[in-house]
Amino acid sequence: MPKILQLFNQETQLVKGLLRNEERAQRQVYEKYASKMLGVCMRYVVDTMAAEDVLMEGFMRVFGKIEQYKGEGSLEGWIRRIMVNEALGYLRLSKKMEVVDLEEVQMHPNYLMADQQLEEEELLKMIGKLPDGYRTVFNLYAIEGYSHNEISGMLGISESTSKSQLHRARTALQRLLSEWYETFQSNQDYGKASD
Amino acid sequence: MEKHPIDDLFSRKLSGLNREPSGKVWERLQKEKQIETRWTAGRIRWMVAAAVALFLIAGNVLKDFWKTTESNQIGQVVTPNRKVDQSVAPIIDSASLLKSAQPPQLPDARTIAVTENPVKIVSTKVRNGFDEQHFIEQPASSEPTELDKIPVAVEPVPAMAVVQQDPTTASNLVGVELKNVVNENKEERKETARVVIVHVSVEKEDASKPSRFKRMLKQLQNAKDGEKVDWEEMGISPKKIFAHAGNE
Repeated sequence: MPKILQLFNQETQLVKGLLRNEERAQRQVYEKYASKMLGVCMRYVVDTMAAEDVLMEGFMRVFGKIEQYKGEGSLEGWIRRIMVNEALGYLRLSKKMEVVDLEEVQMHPNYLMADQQLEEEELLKMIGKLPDGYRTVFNLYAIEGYSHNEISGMLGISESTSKSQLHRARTALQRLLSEWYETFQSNQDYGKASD
Repeated sequence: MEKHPIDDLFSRKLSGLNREPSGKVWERLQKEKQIETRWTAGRIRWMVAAAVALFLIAGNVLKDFWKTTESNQIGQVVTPNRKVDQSVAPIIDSASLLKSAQPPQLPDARTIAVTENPVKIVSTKVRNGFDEQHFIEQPASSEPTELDKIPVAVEPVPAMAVVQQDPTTASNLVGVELKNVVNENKEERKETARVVIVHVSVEKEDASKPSRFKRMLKQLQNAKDGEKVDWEEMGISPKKIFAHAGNE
């Protein structure tokens, strides 16, 4: 309990500093949240340079619009929402939200094995291989936890489009996981054979 | 509701994804902030300048409007007085008036001759674009009594030049027609000195000149047509504004 209070106090102090446009507070906020937020940006905008651009614009917005933060919810959650919106804006501007049809695949990868063996870097690469429209809806629904209704509002699409995009994203990821699993098994077999 | 295994796998592994940004991001952020600050300050300055310009223009327009309104009101007040004067006193024959008119006695002062005694301007006020002049006849011998004060209404008549001003302002010559509110006893009037109060309204500005608002509209039309704009007509000096903007 005291730790929560301490965190709350710290966050309040940071917000006050941001409201006074103090550079020290801005630097603290940046150092505290930059790496997490770059991770968020990377999930939407796969390219590192572009993700850094989005991060920078996002922090500009955070510092410029701090008076809009009413203290409802955590500061981190508020910053995360800003970053997500910035990433969506970037994708919208670069017109990368087109819908691409992928072939339906009926593969059932070994999720337990994937969970144990796959590192976040590889999963990030898999997400990066998805078309932007699929990736965006998948990120918003599966990772951020938005509903289809919310996603339709954020992206300006219908709920059914959001659902179909999610379904296709899952199918594409299943295929990528199956490919990974096949490679993984063959590598293991090769290792056993060489032993 | 149970989560889809794909959603669950990616959510658990990627929700806490961290990536360290390069050091250049913070530097770029600082530069962007500086640019934003300058831009905001510049925008505020321009807004202030625009507000001041608008205020001045609005002030000029309102001033013109009030001028016009007040001059109209003066005209309305004067007209019934003339009628009253006419009814009370007969209008003096203009030919006799011209005969009795004297040349200016003093080169620098405005003079008017109504009778044999010259009349001097004792005070001049400028009100609402008109010169309001008070004339007084030189007393002949003794001080005038209340009965001897004879009001004389003077109204501008372009054709008759009785009032002559300073030679430098000769263009402002105004003719007057005197309506004498005469007492019954003319002889008595000749003997005693009298005070003649004459109100002469001299319009300073050329009546044919268009109002400031119309001139501003014309300049705006010029700007729209791509013709030369006379900023002085607009009441603003862009050179000064740009000079201030450049200094800051």
